[in-house]
Formats: sequence, C-alpha cells, structure tokens
Amino acid sequence: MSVTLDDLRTRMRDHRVVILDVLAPETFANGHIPGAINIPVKDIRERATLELPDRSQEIIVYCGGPT
Amino acid sequence: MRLLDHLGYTRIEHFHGGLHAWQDAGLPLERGRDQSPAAPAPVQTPRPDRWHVVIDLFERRSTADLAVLWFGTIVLCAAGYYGLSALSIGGLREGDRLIGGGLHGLLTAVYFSFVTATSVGFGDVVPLGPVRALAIAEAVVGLLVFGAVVSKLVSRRQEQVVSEIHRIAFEDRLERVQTDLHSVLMEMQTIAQQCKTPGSNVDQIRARLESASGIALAELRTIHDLLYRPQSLPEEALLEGILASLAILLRELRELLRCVSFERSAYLKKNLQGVSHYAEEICSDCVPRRYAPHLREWMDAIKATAPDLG
Repeated sequence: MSVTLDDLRTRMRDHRVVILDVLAPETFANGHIPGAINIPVKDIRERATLELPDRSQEIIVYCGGPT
Repeated sequence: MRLLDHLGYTRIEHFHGGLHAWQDAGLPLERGRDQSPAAPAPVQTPRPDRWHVVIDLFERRSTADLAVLWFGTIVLCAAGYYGLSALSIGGLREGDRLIGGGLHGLLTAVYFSFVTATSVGFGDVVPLGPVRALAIAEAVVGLLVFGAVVSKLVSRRQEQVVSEIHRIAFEDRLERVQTDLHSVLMEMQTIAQQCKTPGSNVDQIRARLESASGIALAELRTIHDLLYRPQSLPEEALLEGILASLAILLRELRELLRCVSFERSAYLKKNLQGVSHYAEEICSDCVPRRYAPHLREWMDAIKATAPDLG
C-alpha cells in the first residue's frame, strides 16, 4: 500500500499515525519529516517490537527516495 | 516494509516518494536525533489481548448501531422467554402463578426481558429451569452493550472538549503571540527614545532592555515551536501578521542595540543570542516557503536582521 504526499500530510494532522524513518541515524539527524521516529532498517528486527508494541498501529514508512 | 509485515504489523503503509518527495515539495524538515525511542502511540495502546478485541468491536460501531443491538437483544430474549414458556421448558413465574401463553404471557416476557437487560431485577417475575440460563446470558450481554452505549455518548462529548482545548491551545495562543510582540515592540521604542535622550538613567535602560529581551526570546521560542509542527500551522493571514510584527520588532531591536553603549550583561547576551538563533531558524527551516510565497519578504527581513543581534 502506498501513500501520496497529500495523504501523508492529512494523516499527520491526527496523531494516530506513526511516521517511521528507516534511514541511518546520521541522515535522520540531518533532516526528517517532522514528528517521525527513527529505526534504521538494519535494526528493525530488534527494535520494532520494543518500540512499536501495538501491531495494529497505523505506520507510514519512508526512506530516502523512491524505492 | 516486507520485514515489518513479516513481524506481524497489520497496518503498514509506504510513503513512496520518501524524504526527497517531501523536500521537493518545499516542506520543512526537522533536525536532531530521535529523542523518543518509543513512539507515543504504543504507550496509550498496550498490546491488544482478547478483551481488547471485544472492546474494539464495540468501539468501531456507532452509537445507533449499539442501541439497536441492545434493543435487539431484549426483543430476542423476550421471544426466547415466551417461546420456552409456551413449550413448557422452564418458564416464568409471577408470585405463585406460572406465566403461560397469550398476550399476557408475551407482555410479561417483554417486561422481564427489560428488567433483566437493565440489571434492575425487581424480582416480581422470576425465571425457572433452563430459562434461568437465558436470563443470566441476557443480563451479561445487556449490561455490556448498555455500558458501551453510555461510554460512547460520554466519549463523544470528550472528543469535542479535546478539540476545543486544542483550538484554544494553538490558535488562540498564536493570536496572543501577536499581541505580545506588539507590547514588546512598544517597550523597545520607549527604551530607544530614552536612550537617545541625553542624560537619561543608564541603569534603568539596561534593566528594561534585559527584561524586554527576555520576553522577546520567550515569544520567539513559542513561534518557533508552533511553526515546527505542520499539523498546527496557522492561517496565512495570522502567520503573516506574526512574521511582520517579528520583522519590525527585530529591526527595532537592532536600532536599539546600536544606541546603547553600556557593556552587555551575560543575561542580555544570552537572550540576544537566543533571539538571533531562533530568528534564523524560523526562516531558514521551519516555515515552508511554498505555503505562502508572499511571506518570503518578511522571512528574508527577519533573516537579514538575525545575525546582527547575537
């Protein structure tokens, strides 16, 4: 499932959705979508369950550019 | 993404364009490391267990749906009582008299059903035999659904209150910022006038300038914080008003600083550095330029003034 930019901005207004940045911490520190949280791809397996215990949580994932 | 699916997340979506699409659209970025390792949402919603699923089921239905469900339960159970009585499998008893069929029997069944579902239990009509099991089941289901209806009504009101609070906290706060900026501006102008008057009291000017710079810093921080959240960006007109006030204020502050010759205290220096820092950030990072192209002028004015202040 894919989200468009406008869709993303609308959904950011209600706070239920978690925006997940899977880029490296350095890149994240340099600039990220406001309000996003950071779990680098390589750490997802370990950290996702800890930091996002609710598996029905709405999550929008993004990385650097079109993938 | 596939990895997250694999881990059991059910509501994963992908923002295809990624960070580049966001930047290309001229939207603001946030800097800094991830400071909240745990997302806020999981704290509010612990891992769903079986009960959660039941509650969730109620949560998603509308109030009307739940009310219909409640009445449906009562009517269905009434039919059950009536049927069982008619078949003489258990039945209902009022005093010493068994309730039979007919209109009286039907009305009594409906009456008993209501009394049970609301968990009132007057005890004038009592169930016998297998009907007892049905009565208990109805009491449990009736109470649960009725509770859901009531909580639904209460939470709807609560949501209204929360959105109202949000409005007051964000929108009204920004309007207050504009008023505050104006007060600081007037104070700056008074100080500047005092400063230009020969033989005026230097200590007094210093004290007023220190105090005013502190307020200016606080206001600037508020604007900065609010602008950092795209979900609460104010209307364009309001934003322009704020930016204009800020630009004028900073220009006035720069003039004032040229006039005062006394040595700046550590407090004043710190405030001015803060003002300069926030002013620069507001305009380079936080306000999406695409959002209001004609605000650019004010932003550039603020940005041009910022380095002279620190």
